[in-house]
Amino acid sequence: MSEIPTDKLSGVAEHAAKNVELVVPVDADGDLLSEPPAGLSNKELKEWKKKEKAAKRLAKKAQQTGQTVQEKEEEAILLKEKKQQQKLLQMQQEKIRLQKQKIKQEQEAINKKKKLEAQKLKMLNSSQKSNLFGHLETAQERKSSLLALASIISSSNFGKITAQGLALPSLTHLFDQSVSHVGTSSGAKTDDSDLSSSASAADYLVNMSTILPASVKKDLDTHTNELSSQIKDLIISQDLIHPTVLKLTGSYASYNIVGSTPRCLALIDAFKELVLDYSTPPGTVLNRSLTQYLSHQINFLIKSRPLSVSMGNFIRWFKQRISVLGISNDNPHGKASSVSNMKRKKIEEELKAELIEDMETFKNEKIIVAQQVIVNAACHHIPDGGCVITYGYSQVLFELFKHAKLTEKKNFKIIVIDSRPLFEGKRFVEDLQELGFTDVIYSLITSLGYIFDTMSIDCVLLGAHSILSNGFLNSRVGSAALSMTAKYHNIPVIVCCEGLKFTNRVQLDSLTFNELADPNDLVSRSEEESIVSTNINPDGHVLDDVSFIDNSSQVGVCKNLYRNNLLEQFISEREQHLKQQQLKKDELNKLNEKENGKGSQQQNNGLSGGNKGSQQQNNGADSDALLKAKSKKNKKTKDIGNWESNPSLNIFNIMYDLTPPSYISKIITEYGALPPQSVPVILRDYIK
Amino acid sequence: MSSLDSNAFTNISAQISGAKKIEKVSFDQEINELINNFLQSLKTNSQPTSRSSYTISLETLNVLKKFIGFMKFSTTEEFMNNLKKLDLLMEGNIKPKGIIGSAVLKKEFCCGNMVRRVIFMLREEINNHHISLHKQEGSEDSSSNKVGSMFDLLARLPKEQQQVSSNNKSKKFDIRATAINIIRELTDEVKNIDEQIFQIGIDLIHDNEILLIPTPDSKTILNFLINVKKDKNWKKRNFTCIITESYPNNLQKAQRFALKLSDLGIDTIIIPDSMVFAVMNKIGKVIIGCKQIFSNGSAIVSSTGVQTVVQCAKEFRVPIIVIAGLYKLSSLSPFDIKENYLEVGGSKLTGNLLPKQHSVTEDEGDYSRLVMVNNINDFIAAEFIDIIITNTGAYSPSFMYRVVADNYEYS
Repeated sequence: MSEIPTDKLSGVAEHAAKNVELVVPVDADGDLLSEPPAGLSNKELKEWKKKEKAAKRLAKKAQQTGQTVQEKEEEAILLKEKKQQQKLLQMQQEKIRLQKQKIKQEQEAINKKKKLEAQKLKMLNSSQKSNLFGHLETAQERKSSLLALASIISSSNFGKITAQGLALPSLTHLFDQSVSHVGTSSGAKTDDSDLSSSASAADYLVNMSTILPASVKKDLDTHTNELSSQIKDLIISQDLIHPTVLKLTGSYASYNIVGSTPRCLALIDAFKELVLDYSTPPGTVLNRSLTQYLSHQINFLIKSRPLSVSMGNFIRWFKQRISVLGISNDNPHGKASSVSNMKRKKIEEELKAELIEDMETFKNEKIIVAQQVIVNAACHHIPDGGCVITYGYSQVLFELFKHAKLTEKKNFKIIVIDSRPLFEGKRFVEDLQELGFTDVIYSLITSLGYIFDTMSIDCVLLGAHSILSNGFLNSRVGSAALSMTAKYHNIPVIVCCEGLKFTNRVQLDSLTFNELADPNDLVSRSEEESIVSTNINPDGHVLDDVSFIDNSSQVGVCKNLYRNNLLEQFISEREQHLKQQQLKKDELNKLNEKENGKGSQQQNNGLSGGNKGSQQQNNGADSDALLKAKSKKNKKTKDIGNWESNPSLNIFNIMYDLTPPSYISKIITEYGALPPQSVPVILRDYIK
Repeated sequence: MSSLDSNAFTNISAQISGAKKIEKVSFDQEINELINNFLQSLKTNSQPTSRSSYTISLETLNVLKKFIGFMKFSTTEEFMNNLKKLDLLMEGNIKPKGIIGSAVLKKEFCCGNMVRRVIFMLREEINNHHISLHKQEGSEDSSSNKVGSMFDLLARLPKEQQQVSSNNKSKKFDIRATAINIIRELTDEVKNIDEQIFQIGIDLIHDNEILLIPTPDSKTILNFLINVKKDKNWKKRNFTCIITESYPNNLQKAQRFALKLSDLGIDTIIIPDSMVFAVMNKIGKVIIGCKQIFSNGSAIVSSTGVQTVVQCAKEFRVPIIVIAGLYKLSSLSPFDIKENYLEVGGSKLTGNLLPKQHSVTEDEGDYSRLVMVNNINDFIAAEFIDIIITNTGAYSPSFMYRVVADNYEYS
């Protein structure tokens, strides 16, 4: 109070001091007013006094600095706020920085993603994912997984490795996984975290001595994770796959075994062998471990071609049969520990024998006897001296014609219609000729109209791949066209089909669910075209008698194509790779030369530099240039073989088509003959 | 008046040609040689599948030009009669002396078409000439001529002779030069059909349409599609072409066709012939290029499998468009097309694709013989075709007889 501040702020301070002078008594009054109540102890009084003193001191200080407590407090708050603001600013700046970084990162990530997507799109484009059949598994996908497996299995390095044994360094972690997988997995397992942590299937394959073309490897990379995971699962369980299943897969994939019935028969035989060789691992029960074991086999098997309906029905029955195995025997074989080893084996042998017997019964009942019944029922449809027309190859129809010819001694003409690319009709014609049929006409589906116009046909006989519950016939592609033409000409269409091929599925058109075969089967790379292009006699006869033509490989054509195709691809890629390496070497040599001769001549140096530049350019665009040159060449020569590089060209090759029930006059099964509308009845009442 | 004259002329020439059919027709040595060469080239230079009606029409016009050049005649009537003879020959109806292998012509309708077109146009020219003559002379007997053509079936005969004689008098009319001019005109027409067809046909394709093309050997179709794709005046249309392989006869052509289209950026899909039924419900229109259109609206196409395609399309209610130049229009409407006009053969084309044949041994007799059927062209009945696009306009098949009448001498 006595001291007057000599600050520049004196004026303000004076005012403030006066204010304080005015204020203080009030304060004092307030203090006085707030005198301690009577009931306070000494200690409490002391504390209260202290507080008062402190307040007074504060007031004095305030007077000294010429500021009120409130102002100071405000200042402090302001300071605090400033600091906070600064902090906030810093924080914000940091945040902004971080955000910017983040954004940058994100952008980079997005760019990367975009690039990846673009690449994927490119890949997809190049892999000819069609809009019509985009939802179906392509033959390429199947093939690549199959090939990956096949090459792994056939590679010498890999064959010796067992799940627990030695492994290549790059593969050890895979096998660490595999042990756990085999223990737990049942069927295809899609573990995303597993996938992301470990490299994709294609990466494994790169490390192995495979002959997989790079494009197929890319396929593995770019296609869905599902595929690579499937492949991984297959690779993991490859040791579990039985050799007969391997063999079977091979013959399915190469179309050596075609047709629903033959495929099913082959599967039953393979499974018999499989069960015979199977021994339950210690600690497990036969009916559980066998089911699991089987699903491994089936997972592998479907990589050749999707299961036919008959196969599916058989597998379903078989699994069901296994699951009830031993229950009827009142054998407590489940408690393996309680039974001695010998006894356990004995029981297992018995169960296996039971299974095999059941499979044999199934085969006889559902296929062989069923076919006999169908043949007997259908035979009266073949008129003596008449003419029947059929499509492709059908086991039942073969039996039917055999029966009509050999047992019933009927004479009739058979017209076999055939189509690309499988040419099953050829095999049918051969088999029929071996039976002694002389009156066989072979024709392709293009001549269908002409045949119906010019020949009198009594009935159309068709086999089936499956019969759907809405009465549609699912059969080899082309049979729908045949039935339609027959309907147009008022000729009855009779379908011979075992009950095994009936399915509960419903389908309305051929595109929604189908099997995509390899489109390259339609691009013939063999010499047949060159033969076709040779001159022919312009005097065409109505019916040409064809003389002896040596053609040993008709069924094998597809197989050969299948092999050659990928091999060629691999070889061409390999050559390119070698060329590139050669170019790189050349470049290196040139560089070395240049360095050696650096001091000698500058002009020379410049020239070589120029050369080098051009060389580099060449080298950089080498592969592209090669490809372009190739495609250009192809464009010039108009070679269809390179169709995959053409983004707007597509080739489709589907296996089955649907015949609407309106075209079908009659379906003959072992349960009797029925119109297609009654298919659900059979499914409900006869097939459980 | 002019129509009456021409009618009368027709009747007479029909009678004459009818008579000529019975007696032996023969040409001069040079003409024989010319026609024989032509037939020989038709027979040997190409396979039946690679003959295109376009080249054959042009060749025929060429032959016709030479024929007219070689021809010796004194009157217009003789000139026309000679042409008529050639027409009959080109139809494959007569076998003149010294001409070998004219049977080929029976299936190459374009030859007959071209000759008949020339005759028709020539006759019009003659009529025009007559009209101008009459106008100059001042017509004497025009009053009585307003009678229907049925009435002067018999009555016109003397007048015709009069006319011919009057024709002879007028030496201004150079029939040879006129004929050659007409041939030149026709050649231009045959060569320039693509643009006209495109102008008429473009309205039938909408954006993102899927087209099925079962005749991948057709030049007209290829040019039409290319024109639609390249079109600048109209809004751009994207469309997908599904092409059948038409195996075995036209497989390579189909592949080349697909490559040509896809090189232009047109989405192209090749399917095997067996897949037609499966994809038909996706298809917007079926476009067919044909080899021959008959006056009843039916057509012959030069690739196989079209009949099945057409039936499928009808089954799925897909419209079927036939595109053809007018030179493919024939005045015939035969009922024995399936029996006599479809070419079958070329099984050697598929020779190595046939099933394995068993060698004949003594015991087995001839059981190794196998019959294979492979027709080279296909027939589409008029009931399947929804519209026919020609370079003069789009017509319904039932209207084709009128178009024939407008363009051809009735035979």
